[in-house]
Amino acid sequence: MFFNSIDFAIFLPIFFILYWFLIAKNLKLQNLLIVVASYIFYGWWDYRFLALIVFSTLVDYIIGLLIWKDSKKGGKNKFYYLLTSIFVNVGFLGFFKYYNFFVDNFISAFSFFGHEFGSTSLSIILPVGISFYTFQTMSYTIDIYKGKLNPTKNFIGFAAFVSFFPQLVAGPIERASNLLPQILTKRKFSETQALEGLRLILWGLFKKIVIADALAPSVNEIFLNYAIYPSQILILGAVFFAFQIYCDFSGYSNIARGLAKLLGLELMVNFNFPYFSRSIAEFWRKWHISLSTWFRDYLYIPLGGSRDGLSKSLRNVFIIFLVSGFWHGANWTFIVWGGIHALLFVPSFIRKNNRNNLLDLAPSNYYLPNIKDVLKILYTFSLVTFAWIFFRANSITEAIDYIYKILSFDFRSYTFLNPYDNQVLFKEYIYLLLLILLEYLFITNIINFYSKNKIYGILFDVILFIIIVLNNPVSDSLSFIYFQF
Amino acid sequence: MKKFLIYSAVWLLLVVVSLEISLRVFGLAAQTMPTKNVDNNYVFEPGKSGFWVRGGLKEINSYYAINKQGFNSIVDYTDLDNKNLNIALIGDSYIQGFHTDANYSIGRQLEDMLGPNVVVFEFGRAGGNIVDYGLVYEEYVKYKKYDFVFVLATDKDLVSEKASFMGKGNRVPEKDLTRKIYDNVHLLRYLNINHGLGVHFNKLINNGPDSIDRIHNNNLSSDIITKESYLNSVNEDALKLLPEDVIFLYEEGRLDDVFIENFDFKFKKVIHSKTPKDHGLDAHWNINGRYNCAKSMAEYIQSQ
Repeated sequence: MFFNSIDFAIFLPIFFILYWFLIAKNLKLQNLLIVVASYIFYGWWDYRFLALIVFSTLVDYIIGLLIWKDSKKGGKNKFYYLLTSIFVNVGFLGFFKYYNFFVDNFISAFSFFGHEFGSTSLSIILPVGISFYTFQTMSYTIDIYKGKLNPTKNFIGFAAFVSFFPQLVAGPIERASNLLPQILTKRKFSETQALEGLRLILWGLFKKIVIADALAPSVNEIFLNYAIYPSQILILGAVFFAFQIYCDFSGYSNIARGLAKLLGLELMVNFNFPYFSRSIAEFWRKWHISLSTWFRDYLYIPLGGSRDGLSKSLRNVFIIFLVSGFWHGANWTFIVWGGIHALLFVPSFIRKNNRNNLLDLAPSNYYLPNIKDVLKILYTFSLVTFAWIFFRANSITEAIDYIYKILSFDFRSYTFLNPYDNQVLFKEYIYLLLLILLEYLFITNIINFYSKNKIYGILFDVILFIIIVLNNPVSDSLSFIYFQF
Repeated sequence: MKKFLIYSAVWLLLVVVSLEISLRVFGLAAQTMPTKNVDNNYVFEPGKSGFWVRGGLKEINSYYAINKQGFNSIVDYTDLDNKNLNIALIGDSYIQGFHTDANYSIGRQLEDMLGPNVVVFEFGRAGGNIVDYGLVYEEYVKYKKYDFVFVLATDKDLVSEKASFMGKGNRVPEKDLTRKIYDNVHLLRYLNINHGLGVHFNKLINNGPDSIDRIHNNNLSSDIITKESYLNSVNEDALKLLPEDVIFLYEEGRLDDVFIENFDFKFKKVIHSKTPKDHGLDAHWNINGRYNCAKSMAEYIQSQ
C-alpha cells in the first residue's frame, strides 16, 4: 500500500478511529491493532513475504531474551546468540538482495581466469523494505548484547515495533531504545502532536507528488537516452534526480513521522534539509540520518572508529561508506557512489573539521545567507549531484559515459520536452523554487506559518493541499524509490 | 481530541470549498458529455459544443462540436454534395477526437491536404468496435455517394460480438439525484476523471489490492495467438456489412498481418512522418498523430 494511494486514504481513517476511539484505553489491543494493520499494509504488496517479517520478529524476540538471560549467568553464549540473530537477518538480506549479485560476480571473476560456469542466477523478488526492518531488528539484539537495552517480554509490543507500518518499508530505521519504550507505554492523544503529524504528512505528500513524481519522467528519459542529449540537459537530468530522490525519500520520512505522531509516537528525524549543507560531512549528518547513525553505532565504532590512528580511521571511514552504498542495492554503482562520498569526506576528516557546523543550520538567523555560505552550499550540492549520477545509472559504464558526455561541452541549443506531457519544462522549475524557498523559510524561521495566527497555518495547509491535488499525475500512484532498497 | 477533530473538519471543509472554487474559476474539471438516443444510437447530444478538458491542469482543452448525428464533427452528413470528393471516416475514440480541436481533427487536416471540394465525414465514438463500424456503414454511408471509406481498426475491435453504441440508444443514463450531484460538483468530476476515483473504488471492491503476485501473473498471461485462433476470433458477420472497397487504416503492431493477408479489404498503414505526441495522461495522440493519419490517407487517395 502506498501512502499516496486511495487505498491508504481509506485504510488510515479506519485505523485511526479504531485506534483512538474503540480501543484507546487498552494498550495491548492498540499494539495488536498496530501489528494487524501493519501486516495488512505490508501484505497489500505481497502477503507471502509477511512470513519473513514474522520469522525475523520471532527470532529476534527470542534471541533478545536469551542474550539477556545469558548475560545474567556470565554471558558465555551471548555472542553466539547475537551471531545467530545477525546470521538470520543478514542471511535474509544476502539471499533476497545480494544472491544474484555475488553469483554473477563470482562467475565473471572466474571466467576472467578462464574457468567457465553456467549461470545460476535465480528469479528472486526483493521483498519490499527488507533492508529497513532487518536493520531495525538487528539494532534491538545488538543493543541488548551491549547491555544498553533490556529485552521486552511483551511479544505483541515487540512485533508492533518491528512491523510499525508508518516506517516499515522505507524507514526511518528506528532504534529499539527510542521506539520500543514508546510502544510499551500507554499513549495519550495530543492535539498539538496530531496537528504536527498532519502537517508533516501534507509536506511529505507535497514533496513526493508535486516534486518527485513530476521530475521522474524527465529523469527517466534523460538517463535512458543520455547519448542523444547535449551537456546542459544531462546536467539538468542529474540535478533533477538529486531533487527527485531527496523529495521522494524525505517525503516518505515526513509522512512516516507524521503518521507516527497521529498515533502518539515519535520517530527520529531522518532528513534535516541536507541540500543546505556547506560540506560533505555536514551533508552526511543531515541525509538519511537513521542509516548513517546506524552504521556509525553498529559498524564504525565497533571497528575502532577514529580511536586507533589515522590509517585505521580512514579504513573505517571507507568501510562504512562502501557498505552504506552497498546497502542501497546489489550493484557496483552503489558501491562506487559510496566510495565517491568517502573520498569527498576524507579531506575534512583528515583536517578534523568534519564536526563543524554541528548546531547551526546554514544559513541561520539572517534573511539572506552570506555569499560564502551560498558558494559552499552550491559547491556541496554539485559534488553530491555528481555522485548521484552513479547512484542513478544502471551500470558504471553508463555513469562514466554520462559524465563523459557532460564534459564533452556539447552545449548545442536544445529544447527538452517533459516526456510525460510533451510540454516545455516550466511548472517543474516553479515548484522546485517553491520547495527551496519554503525549506529556506523553515530553516531560518523567517516566517513560521504555524506560530502566531492559526489562520495562516490553515491557509498554508489548504494551499499546499490544493497544489497536491491539482498536480497529482493522472496515472496510478508512483512507488517510492527507496522501497527497492 | 475534540479540538483536533473540529480543526480537521474545518480544514477539510476549507479544502473542499477552495478546490471547488478553484476548479470552477479555472475551468479545470471535465464536463459530463451529454449523451442522447439518436435513431436508437447511443451518441452525443446533437448541437452541443464546448471545450473538452482533461489533465490535472487542463493539459488538454479542445473545442468540440456535436453534429446532427451525434458525432463530434463540424460537418454534418446531411451536408453531403455529390459534386465534392466525399470521404467517410469510421472509428472509435481516435476518430471521435475529443483530444484535439474539432477544427484540426483528422478530417479537417485531410481536407486541407487534398485541397478544395473535399469533405470528410467523421463517424467516431469511443469504445466503438467492428459491429458498430458495420452498422454505421449500413446506416450512414451505404446509401450515399462516398468516394472513399476509411475504417480505423485494431485487432481488439475485430473480435467484438456486440455493438457498443449503434442500436444502443437505451444506454442513455437517467438523470437521477446521484447523477445530478455528480454533474454539478466540479470536484467530484475532477477527482473521478483525473484520479480515477470510481474506477479505483470499483477495482478495490472487486479485485482487492494489486499485489506483486497478481501483477506478475498478469504479465505472464498474454496468450500466444495462432493464425487459426485469430481467424476464428474475428467477427466475420460484422465484417460482411462492409464492402471490399473499404480501406482499413491501421497502425503497425495493432492490426495483425493475418487479417491483412486473409481478407480482401484494402489496407493503408499509418506512416509516422511526425512523432505522435500525447499528454502522458492520454494515450490518444494529439495534433501530430492526427496529422500522420490524415497524411497517410491523403497519400492513399492521391495514389488512386
